[in-house]
Amino acid sequence: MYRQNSYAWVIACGLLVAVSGSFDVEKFLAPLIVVFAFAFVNTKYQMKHVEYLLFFSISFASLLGFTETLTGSHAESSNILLYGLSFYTASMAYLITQNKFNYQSALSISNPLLLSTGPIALYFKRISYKSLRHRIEYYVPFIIVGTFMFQVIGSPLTEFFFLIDKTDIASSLTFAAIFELFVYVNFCGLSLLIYGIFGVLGFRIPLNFKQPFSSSNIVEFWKGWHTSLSQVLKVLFYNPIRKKYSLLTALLVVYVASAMWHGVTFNFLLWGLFHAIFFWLTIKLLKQKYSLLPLFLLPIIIVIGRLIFADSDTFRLLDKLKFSFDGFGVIDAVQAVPSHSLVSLLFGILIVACEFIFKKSKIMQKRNYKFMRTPVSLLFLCMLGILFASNVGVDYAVYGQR
Amino acid sequence: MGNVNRAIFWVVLPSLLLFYIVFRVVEWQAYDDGGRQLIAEKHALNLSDRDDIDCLILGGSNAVFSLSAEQISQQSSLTCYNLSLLNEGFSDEAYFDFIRNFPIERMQIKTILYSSVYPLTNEYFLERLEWNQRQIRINGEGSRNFAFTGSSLASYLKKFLQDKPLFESVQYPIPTPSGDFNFDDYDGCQQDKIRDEWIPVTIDEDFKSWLSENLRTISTLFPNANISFVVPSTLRSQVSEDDFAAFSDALEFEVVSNSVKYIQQSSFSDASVLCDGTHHANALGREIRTSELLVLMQNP
Repeated sequence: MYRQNSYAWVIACGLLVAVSGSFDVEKFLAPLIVVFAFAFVNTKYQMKHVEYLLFFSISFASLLGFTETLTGSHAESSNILLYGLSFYTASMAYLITQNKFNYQSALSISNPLLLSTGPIALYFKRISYKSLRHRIEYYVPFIIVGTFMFQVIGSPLTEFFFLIDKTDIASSLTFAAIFELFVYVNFCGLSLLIYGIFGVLGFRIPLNFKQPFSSSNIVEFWKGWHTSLSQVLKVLFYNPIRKKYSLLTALLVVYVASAMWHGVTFNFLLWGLFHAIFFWLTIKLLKQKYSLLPLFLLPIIIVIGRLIFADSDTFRLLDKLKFSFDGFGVIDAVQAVPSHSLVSLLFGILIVACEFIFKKSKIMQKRNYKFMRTPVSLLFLCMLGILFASNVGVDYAVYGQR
Repeated sequence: MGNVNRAIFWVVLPSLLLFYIVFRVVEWQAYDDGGRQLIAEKHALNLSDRDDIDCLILGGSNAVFSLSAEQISQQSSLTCYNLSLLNEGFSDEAYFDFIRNFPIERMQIKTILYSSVYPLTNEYFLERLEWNQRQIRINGEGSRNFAFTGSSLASYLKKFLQDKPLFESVQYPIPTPSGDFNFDDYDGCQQDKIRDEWIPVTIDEDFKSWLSENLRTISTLFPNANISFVVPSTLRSQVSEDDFAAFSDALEFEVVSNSVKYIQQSSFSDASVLCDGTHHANALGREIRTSELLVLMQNP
């Protein structure tokens, strides 16, 4: 297994060097050394509650200004030695809780490809016993779907980012909705891409997104969004707290912890409280057999939540939360972006609409993007990709590099 | 997998991928300089019968679009010529070779206004260093690396349907007799597409060495000239005033330590005075920026 994980680690380094065109040896070695050193210390001294210290290490780094907050704009650690800290510390915290953290897992935890954009390495299973042909047929479609989402839809959407400065209700909600779509296609696209690459190489990693918009309420939505982080939060916070305290308390702790993982700022604290309360409210409503109200609340929670998430400028955020109406100038502003961005917006909306409208159909049941992975869908995606792939916008991983 | 599905997966999809790569290679090879070579030749022609020039504007597209030698000549005692080139001639060696081989009496140049945008944008500065290393010439041939993205196939299809040349890029106009950008012959101004994205360079050893090397070359080329390094006007609302002031102080220190005068121009008020970029003024913006430069030049 050491050999297999080393092989995956080296291939990941090679891929990143090929894609980025630069070879930053510190970026590859620093996480590896830190994780191995920690594995050594952890084996020697079984420290109590160290998983929480690990999980919140990114919060301390953010608080002390060593890393940027993760608003979805490009967030890169100003200290190269902290590269990938958020991901590998979360992985270590989870594996320690599960008693699975050892030298062997250190190589997968510090795999540079996983650290570049996630998912959190909850597991890294060898599947090379499956034939290469089988792996190509199953995993290459994930690469195609991921590339389409990340490159064809995601990058051109960055042309809408200027809207973040506008504080009237129409502009801020439009920005939040488009930004939600951007974060989804960017993060999910990269996650699918990496899932596919590792699959072809003979490794199975967590599928980080499971069609979150195939949901009827916010609880279902979170079951499909950044699933690796959800699992860490569940094991580290929800399960132990729920045993002793109320549901609301457990949810508040989970979401505030999640918020602090993203960055120690006012907007994230507000975001955590906002989601915890609406998650709790949705559960209460569902228990009362109200299903329409949670469905109605779903888009509102998603968009307002993203509005809060995206803006670490407290004064501007508070301005936005006044929801003052100032006409529909945003329509003209949106039309001024390159036409490719408008096409990408349309594609993004179509994917989300398909996820939502056909959520009960058979092909959607496993929530693993099967509807985009059929040969005909792939043909369609490839043709659209060839037609519309362009250098409009900026490529970067919203959840990586910190 | 059924036979049709298998054929799609193993034959059609790889064929599409191959087609896409071939398309990108063709695009990469079909470079169009946008008229840069012709512009350089026109500058040479303009100056071949001039012996009265005592002031030169040097720099990149910020000076091409946003400074007027004609206005400076009219509103001061100087006789100026705008010798700035788009992309600042791509590489330092190419640009200074172009100046060095120019039909001009360099000893009689008394004023040099060197307006470079590179201090204001880390991304462009890093690109500049790469172009320097690759010794790109002033027409920019070879400046582009092969990339898996570029203009979309859809945009080429649109051009094809409109009967436009497929690989022709934006064509820049032939300069006026004073070397200025001729806005009358240019219809590429699109204010609504302008995005404000300035992130100043980090003033590190690479930057210091680039700056002092260029200032030293200019001093050598024009030994009798008073040289001013001009930080151009841009639309830069995303950088706070305090941050920019701190950056400007650090830059001024570097420039002055090379015995060159430092002039910092104010930012543009809004996109209405711009043409097609945050540092590319339109005719009105050029008049405003040049007027301000004339005032700043009078300051000791």
